[in-house]
Amino acid sequence: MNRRSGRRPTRYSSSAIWTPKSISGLQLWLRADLGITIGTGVSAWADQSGTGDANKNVTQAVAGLQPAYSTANAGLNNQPALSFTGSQLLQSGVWASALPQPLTIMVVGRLTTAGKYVCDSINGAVQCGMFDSANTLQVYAGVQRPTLLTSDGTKFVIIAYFNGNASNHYPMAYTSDNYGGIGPGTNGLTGVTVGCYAGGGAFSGSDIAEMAYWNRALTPMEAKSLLNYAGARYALTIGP
Amino acid sequence: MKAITSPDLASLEAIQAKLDAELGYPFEGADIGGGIHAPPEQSRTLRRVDIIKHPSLDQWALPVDQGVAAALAARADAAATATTGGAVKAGGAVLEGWPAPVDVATPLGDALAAADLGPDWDQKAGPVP
Repeated sequence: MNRRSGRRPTRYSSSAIWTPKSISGLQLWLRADLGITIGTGVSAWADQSGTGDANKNVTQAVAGLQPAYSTANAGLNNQPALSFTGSQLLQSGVWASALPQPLTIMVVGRLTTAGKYVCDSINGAVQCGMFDSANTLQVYAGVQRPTLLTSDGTKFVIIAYFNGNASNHYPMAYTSDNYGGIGPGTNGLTGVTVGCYAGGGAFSGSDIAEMAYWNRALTPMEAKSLLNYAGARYALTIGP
Repeated sequence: MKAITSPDLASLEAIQAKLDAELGYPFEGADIGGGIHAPPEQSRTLRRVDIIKHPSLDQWALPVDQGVAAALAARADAAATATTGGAVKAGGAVLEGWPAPVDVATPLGDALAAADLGPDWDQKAGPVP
């Protein structure tokens, strides 16, 4: 109690918990402890971005194609994750607003078995996403470019900025790489597929804990905050 | 992957509807965790498997995964002890209540025999790096 005024002192709490939602321009945010609906496996994984477009929720109405759900994935610091083992996929509807380049995608997960697409667009003829090629994540928006995992085995947090030949990425590191100035193509997206190629097949072998999409480039400071967030949450080792 | 194949999509869809009803589809999902959840119309599980089309032939396949196989086995077991009249035969079991064969030349009994799909059924297509 303030002796002079008789009022209780104002309490300044620490700022709200930092999440990918703290970075402006967020278009899609999927995190495995939020918005999960279980059918046989996961029948819906709801977007938490706050844009209010229900077509951004990724869903699967067929039981045999639903990914399994783990409330505590031992390979991802006992955080929840969805398991894709070669024949599961989730897909959004067509977004109310398309997401052309420039755009940024962050994915956190773990490669578990040989597989292909971790994420893609919803149009097999206009792809935009990431796929696994023998434990080497690669980005693809019309042109194949490598995104090497530089540490932490098969666990990963990848922040990939898509903007033609001005693209870059943060492969488990605070230092970005620009693919030698040859970008992964110019495709954008109108929706998201998780776990396989947008046209069907080329399934992933991975556990996915979190995905986020922005409609712009992140600043180096924002990327660093994001890497720190993912590193702490999923016990990932982030390189220099 | 094992599957029941047929050139007749309608009869496979009828089989699928029967199987799904017996397995309890469609059913509502259960929301867990925090955050915003998808509305029920998006998160409902509608069926066990999807019927797939041969990439080039006029042929369809109903995948027989563990859930479908269990439903087929349960139905065959039940039918084996039932007294039936005019029911459809499938793999030696009498499956009362199954949809009648659409094509006499391809009786449903034959169509219900699940077999491994050959590599020609591979759905992968398009510009996959």
